Amino acid sequence: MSEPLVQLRGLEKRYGERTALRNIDLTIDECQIFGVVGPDGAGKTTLLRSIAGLLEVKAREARVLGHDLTADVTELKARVGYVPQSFSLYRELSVLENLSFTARLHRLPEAEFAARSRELLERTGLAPFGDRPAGALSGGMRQKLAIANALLARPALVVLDEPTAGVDVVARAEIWALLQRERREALVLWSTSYLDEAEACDRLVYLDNGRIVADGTPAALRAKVPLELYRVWSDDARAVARAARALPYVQGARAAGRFARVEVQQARTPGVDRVLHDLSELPGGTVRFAEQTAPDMESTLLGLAERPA
Amino acid sequence: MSWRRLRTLLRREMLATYRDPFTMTILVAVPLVALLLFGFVLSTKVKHMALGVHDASDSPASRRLVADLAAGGTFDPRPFATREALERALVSGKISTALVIPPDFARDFGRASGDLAPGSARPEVQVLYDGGEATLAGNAEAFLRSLVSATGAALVETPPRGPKRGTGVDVVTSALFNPTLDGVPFMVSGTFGFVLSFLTTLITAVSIVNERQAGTFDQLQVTPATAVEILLGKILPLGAVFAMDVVLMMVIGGLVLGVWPQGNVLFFVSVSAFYVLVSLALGLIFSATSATAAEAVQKTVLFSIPLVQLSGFAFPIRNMPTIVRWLTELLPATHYIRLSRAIYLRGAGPLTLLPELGFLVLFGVILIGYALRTIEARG
Amino acid sequence: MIIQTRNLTKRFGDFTAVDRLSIQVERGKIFAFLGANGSGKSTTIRMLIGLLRPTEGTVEVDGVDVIHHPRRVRDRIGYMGQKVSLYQGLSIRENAEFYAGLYGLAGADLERRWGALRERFSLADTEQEKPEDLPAGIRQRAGLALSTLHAPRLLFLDEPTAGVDVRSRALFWELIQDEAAAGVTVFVTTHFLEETDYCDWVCFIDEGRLIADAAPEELRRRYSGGYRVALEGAPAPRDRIGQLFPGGQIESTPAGLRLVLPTLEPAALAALDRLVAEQSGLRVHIEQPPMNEVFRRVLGERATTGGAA
Repeated sequence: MSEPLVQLRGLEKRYGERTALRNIDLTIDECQIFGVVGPDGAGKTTLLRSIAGLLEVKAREARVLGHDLTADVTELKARVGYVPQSFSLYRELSVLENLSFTARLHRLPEAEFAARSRELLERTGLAPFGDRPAGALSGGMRQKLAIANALLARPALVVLDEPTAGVDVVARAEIWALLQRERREALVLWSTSYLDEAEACDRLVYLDNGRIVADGTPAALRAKVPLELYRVWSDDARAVARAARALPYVQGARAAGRFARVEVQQARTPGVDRVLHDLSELPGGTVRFAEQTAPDMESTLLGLAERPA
Repeated sequence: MSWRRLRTLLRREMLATYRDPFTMTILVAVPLVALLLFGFVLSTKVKHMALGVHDASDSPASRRLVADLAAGGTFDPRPFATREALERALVSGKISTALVIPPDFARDFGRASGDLAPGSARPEVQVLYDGGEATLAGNAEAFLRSLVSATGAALVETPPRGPKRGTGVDVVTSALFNPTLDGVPFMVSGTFGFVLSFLTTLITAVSIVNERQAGTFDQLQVTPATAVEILLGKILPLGAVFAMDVVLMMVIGGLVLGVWPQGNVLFFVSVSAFYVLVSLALGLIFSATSATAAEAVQKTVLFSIPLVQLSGFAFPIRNMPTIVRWLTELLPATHYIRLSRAIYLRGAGPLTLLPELGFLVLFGVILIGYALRTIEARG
Repeated sequence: MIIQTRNLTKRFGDFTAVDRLSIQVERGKIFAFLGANGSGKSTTIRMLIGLLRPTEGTVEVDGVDVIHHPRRVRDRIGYMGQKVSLYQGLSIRENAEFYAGLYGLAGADLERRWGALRERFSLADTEQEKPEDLPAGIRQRAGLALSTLHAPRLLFLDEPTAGVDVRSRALFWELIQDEAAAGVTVFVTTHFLEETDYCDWVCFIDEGRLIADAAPEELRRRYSGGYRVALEGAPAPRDRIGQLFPGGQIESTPAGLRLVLPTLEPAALAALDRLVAEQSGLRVHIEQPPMNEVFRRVLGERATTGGAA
């Protein structure tokens, strides 16, 4: 049986008095798109940087791609492509110059660099901008360049810290497509605050306060969450939402487009039929149509956030 | 202007500043450290200077001269047999000042004491010094000169031979207000200027830049608070801390270094307080043009280094080329240092210093006006 | 119209951050100003509140010419910037007292108002804490509470949910919707597309230019495949459905039928209600087209036509 790509047991990271990560147990066996989600300050960046070999950590066991994180990580770093939260390439250098710089750092032979960079520039849509200074690119293009840069040396592990944060819609979709391609050959480990992206990951880990609170596929996590989700379709969804909040078993309700989204804690639910009945009787709008829906990523994360650490 | 809003702003600024142990330490520790540093360690007081002496005359008179020079403790005379040896020692840096007594010193003296007709050559000694250490050397030279003259006059007086013949009006230079040309009061009075210029500007610059970065400055601009209220709310609490610093430095300067202000204390504190406000306004202006605290610090430091050179704090302005002297007149620090020295060392009063005060007020008005504009600025 | 701009432009050197923006905001509505990072959102909001002087164009807020008399609106507007402007070293309570003092709110009035806000925003147990000791979600909530302290008629929120955990985000939008229900006009910038569903009107800005300016439902009508209503579990007669939903398309699916409607009007909801009553065992599930799909199409169309939606 081959060694897992990532094997962490009891990983801990402290910054002076503050413990950023505690008791992290994580095993990743195959190449996939693996998402790290959780609130700001939960330790996502710290976890990603630790796995990428950039931080000193303490652990009972900490192996990434077969390398020990607590020992010399030079060889590991050569096999990792890392894209940090803020743009870290050279703004005065052009797209090609930046890639060439990285190639030289990795000692890529000229021919291989030419082929690989051409391929990546095509895939990211940056080919026409080869000579443009990186600082002159739009936010989305810069991110794509950073990703192309990380993929240049064909890393076995790609770590990205919120690569789509604040990026325009089209570029986000393109970045997602890029990563989908990569997951066939590499482990893609990333963090995101976009619910639709979390939903599309192969597996997720939810961090809160430095600890892993949940670990599983999106479907598995959704099944575990102790929330019932309802939608009340109405022409005045906002009024319905406000009224819904007054119901004793409703945890939260807000209008989203044409429906009021109502979250009910499983522990307090009076049963689906009763809830549906109550919801269609709510004041607000001229008509209301209530249905139960499967928990989505938002309610999943909400449910997970409620759990004590 | 609304007093209630101003009170609100003041309260917040005071709470934030006084609760921050780091800032408070800097605001109190730095002035004291600077005072002690400049007063003790860096003072240009002449003491135990190695004085090379080549006594070619080797006469009672010349020996008497050297003995007198040694007596005060200011100089440590070291004998050199030859002139060349003396000059070698100067070049190698073993000594920084030298005295050459010519072979015919005693004879000249003898002549001077009575036998010579007026107008003949008077006894001369040659003083050599390392001009490289200009301040020190300047002081040393002046001191030497006065000592030598005094000694010479004494020597001339001593021989009990008939009525003293007029040897001409001997001008004995004697330094008023600082007879031993002790550098310490000079430095102490200048330190106020240095600290109150550098530290004040630095603190405000960094403080405002941090507020801009944190977003609280924007938030403030969106409230009904006016630019004047914001300005006062920022600089009054800091001004209070620095005013306390002034008093503290005065007391430490007196108790530890023995330097008390010669002039009116209240006057000195008032002038200093006004200057503090002016400096704080300057800090505000720096902060408006800086994106990060690091940049603000850089700008303040870059500005302060010429300030130290040009304001007369360490180096006398009168020695500078004319164009530079005009430049120094543009620095508020120059005027404040002049004022502080005048009050501290010479006990000057408001009427005498009216022109300098006028300059300071003018600068103050201009800088504060400009600072107000930067607060109101809307990109 | 509580906010009106005409040809609002801001140039920094030869970079145009905002290009001839003309928008109108109706009183009492939640107005979403959407765009990627660097698209000009923050620059626009700063011009609207008088923090930044436009290069060209006019801005009128609540009848006041903000360019020439910015101070006149200050007591009527509340602002929460991207970096929540709470003073470090002061507790949340002290921050509240500070801002209240600037707006002339003190004593019993302040006590009453702050007491109510504290309750609504769930800040009671963190009131004495300093912002630097609190997680981003709570800081954001406190920031929002403080911006409404002086009961402004107009709220400007710049990316209020960026970097904030799911629970706080949910609570936030509930609070914002409550404010709107009470008559406050809320101007929000965000880069989370799904948040537009919480709003009444959307302005989508890309590279300083307006490319969409409509209600979310309108954008859905124009740029999406429409609402998909799954009808499963019992056979539903096609003609009956055609009768009840004249504007819809009917498709077959393995599990039953799918009804595609361009919009979801009250009439359609009432019809669904009737259908479910008529056909026992019929399960209805409505899918609302997600906004990121909508915006991808908006951007796609713009790429081909180069115009505004």
